[in-house]
Amino acid sequence: MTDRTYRGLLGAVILLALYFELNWLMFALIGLLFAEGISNQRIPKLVYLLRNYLVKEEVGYVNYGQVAEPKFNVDSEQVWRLAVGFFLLVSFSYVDALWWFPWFMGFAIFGAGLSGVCPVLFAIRWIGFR
Amino acid sequence: MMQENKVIQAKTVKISLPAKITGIVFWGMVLVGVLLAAYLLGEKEQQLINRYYADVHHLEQELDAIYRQEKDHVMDYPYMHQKFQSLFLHVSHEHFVEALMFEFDGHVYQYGEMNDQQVHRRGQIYIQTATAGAHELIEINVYMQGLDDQIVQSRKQMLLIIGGLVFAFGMILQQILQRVLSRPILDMVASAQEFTHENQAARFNERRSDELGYLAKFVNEALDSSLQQQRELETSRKALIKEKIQAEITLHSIMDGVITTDEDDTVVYLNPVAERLMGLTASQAKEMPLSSILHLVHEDTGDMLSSPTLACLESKQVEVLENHAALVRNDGKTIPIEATIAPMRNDEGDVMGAVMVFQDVSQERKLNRQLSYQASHDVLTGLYNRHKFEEQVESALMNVDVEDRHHALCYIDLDQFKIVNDTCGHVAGDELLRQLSEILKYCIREGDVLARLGGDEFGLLLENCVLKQAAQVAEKLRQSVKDFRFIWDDKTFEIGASVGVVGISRENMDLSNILASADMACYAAKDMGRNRVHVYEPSDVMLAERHGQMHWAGRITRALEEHRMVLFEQPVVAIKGIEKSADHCEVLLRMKGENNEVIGPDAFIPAAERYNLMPRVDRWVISQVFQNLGQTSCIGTDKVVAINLSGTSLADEGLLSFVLSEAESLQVDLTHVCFEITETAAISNLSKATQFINGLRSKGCRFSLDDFGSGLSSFTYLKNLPVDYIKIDGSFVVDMLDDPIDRTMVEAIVQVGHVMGVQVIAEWVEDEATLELLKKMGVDYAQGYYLGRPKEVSIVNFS
Repeated sequence: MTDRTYRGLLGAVILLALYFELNWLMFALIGLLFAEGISNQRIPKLVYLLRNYLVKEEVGYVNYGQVAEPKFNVDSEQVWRLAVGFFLLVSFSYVDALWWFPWFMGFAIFGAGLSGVCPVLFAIRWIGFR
Repeated sequence: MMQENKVIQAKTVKISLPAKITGIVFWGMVLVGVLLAAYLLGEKEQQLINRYYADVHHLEQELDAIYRQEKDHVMDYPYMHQKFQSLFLHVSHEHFVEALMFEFDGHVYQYGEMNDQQVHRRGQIYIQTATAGAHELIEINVYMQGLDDQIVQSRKQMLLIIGGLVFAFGMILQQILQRVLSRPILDMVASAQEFTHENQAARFNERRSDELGYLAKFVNEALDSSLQQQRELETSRKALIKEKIQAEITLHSIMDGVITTDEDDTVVYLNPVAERLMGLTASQAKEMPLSSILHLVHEDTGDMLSSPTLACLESKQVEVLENHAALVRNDGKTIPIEATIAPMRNDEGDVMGAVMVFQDVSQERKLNRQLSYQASHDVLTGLYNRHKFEEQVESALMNVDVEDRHHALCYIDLDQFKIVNDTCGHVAGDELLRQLSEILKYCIREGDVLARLGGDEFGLLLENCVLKQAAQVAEKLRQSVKDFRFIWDDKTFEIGASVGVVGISRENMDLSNILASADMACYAAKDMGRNRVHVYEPSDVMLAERHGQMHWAGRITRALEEHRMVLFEQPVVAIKGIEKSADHCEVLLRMKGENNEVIGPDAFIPAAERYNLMPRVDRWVISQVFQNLGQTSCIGTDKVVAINLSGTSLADEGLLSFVLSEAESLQVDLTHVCFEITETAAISNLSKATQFINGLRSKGCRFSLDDFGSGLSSFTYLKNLPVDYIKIDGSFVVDMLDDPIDRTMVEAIVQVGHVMGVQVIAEWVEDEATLELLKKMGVDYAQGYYLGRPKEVSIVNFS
């Protein structure tokens, strides 16, 4: 599993959870994202360890480039999960005003998985994360 | 600092073109979807709200319409229930109404299911009943879905629809863009990468008909052109490298030093010869200004010379180093050099540096100095020679005219020098001249010019010296020579000097005239008894006579040029038992004057000998005699023609080859030729005379020793001279009848000659008695007026 695939699945699950109003699933996803972000034991990595083959993080035509000398010694995927988890949590905390934001994130993450282009991830790397 | 970091990051985080296209398209679609969703959701919600609140009113209108249409059956409950049932089904299907309940005429009309989550709304309708004839107000209860639920459901559906459509459209658009844009560009990138990785045959796909196809074709053509240029450049580069190597090898191989500089006079290249001459390695010299490492000085004065390369770079012209330049090596040693410095220009004609080519000319300079020295100095004494002396006199003449100065010239002729030469040989004579030169140098001032003009003749130029002082200097010289004693082996010689002095002034400024005057003064001094100084006086009678002899030199030259020399012949008669008496003759020379008068040899031969004209005269005589012999048949005869040779001709090393050459060209049998050389001439040039005689005797030529007996050493030298005849000096023969000593001398000569196998000739035989006496003495040949007077050889024939 690649992070791109992961993002496609994650977006789809978020949309399903929203559509069927499965709040427990949303909170589970938020918990999963925080757990991955904090521990950096991400599902794609774990799958890699399990299947023991090289993770090709960037597949297809997408090339975010590698920061030659990152300013922060933290994986960009790790930061991405924390950011997504944070935004989902905030939007759920203010659901009356931000009811649309989880939907937007669900579509965006699903789109990032399909297209292979994630602007947030690019921005994170541009900032200087590894 | 942050901005700088951003720049770095922007440079390091790169996004590929497909990612950009995908990102822009996809996220553009997301943005469009969001905006569309926001707009549509708002509209939909407003519609829901409006419909929601209009549903009760709509239901009131529908119920009212049924009552009006069915006013005859309003009391028929089953019938109305069925009508209302149909209405409810229709309304509940299209509106938010889930349940309806109202009471009329004691019946409860209820449709749908009611629950707690439904919103209960009330409405009213007026019904005109048929029985009562009046209107009745009925309250209806409408149970509807919650508005929020409706909105949520609506949002979900809307978002899913919009999201699905946008995603689908985005994916389609992405695929299209990828097909028409990203993939061709990536293919081009792949081709470019393949080309970059040494596959120069890789080309872009030109099959597309759009702009990318045009671009690919254009790039392919550019690549082909670039490769062609690259191949041409490579060929040119190899050719240049080859030429560069050849040029470098050439520069390394040539014997000249070569230095090149750039336009700032900084050294760029030195070849090995330049390194050796300068005492520097190329690595030491490179990048250094040439003017700081190339030290040039004037060879004679040691003055520093300016940098020739700087001058060349400034003038942009070829510069040639001056003749006396010398290079001061790094170790201080000085090397004479010759150098040429030329500007180097690029193809636009701009000077881009200079090249200096120089040679070590130490040997050439040394040779030049030697040649120059030899051209101006006498090898034996080291003094100036005649040529240089005449230059110095001419130089002095110039300042006489300009500055009105007075100079003097001395002509010094040694006395008794010939004695030293004759008795001790030329080596002694040379040594005498060397020692005397040193003595003379001590007696003159530093600026005076002393030269050896000839054998034992010296010249002295006294600048800024009046005639009186010059005479004193000449006297001092004479006295010094007189006081000198030359010692050779066990012999001691006292030498004298005759000095002629002449003043140089404005009145007397002709070089040849001055030299002739000095010569005449010297001759006068000799004539007055030798070993004295004589100051030239134009009125001097003796000098006038001497002047007359000089005049003869010109007349002889002109006579030769104008063919006024004539040959006479006098028979030499065999008187000792030889039948034929006219088979031997002597050629005599006469000169015809300007008025065609015949001038005897006594008048011009001394002058010719003194002014070194005899070699020319002798050669003329030999040529004329040989021409006559060549055209006269002498085969089978004993005819012998005697030709007189002077001493100076004998000293001429080219005479032998001249005679042989003339004989060969004129087909002369040399057995018919006899050369007469005087005893004095033979002795003075004994070695050359012997060489000359031997050279011609081997060809059959004969030799006669003329004027034999006049010298003191005749018999001694006779042993060493391989001659065929000896001709007794005429002074012995002419008085032989009266003078017993002369007669005895003649007898002695005849006896010695016969003992040595040499035939004897007696000249000056003027009467019969003398002839008879000579016959008795055994003389072989006689010559004189009694036997035949000289007569002109007017035709090509010797009688």
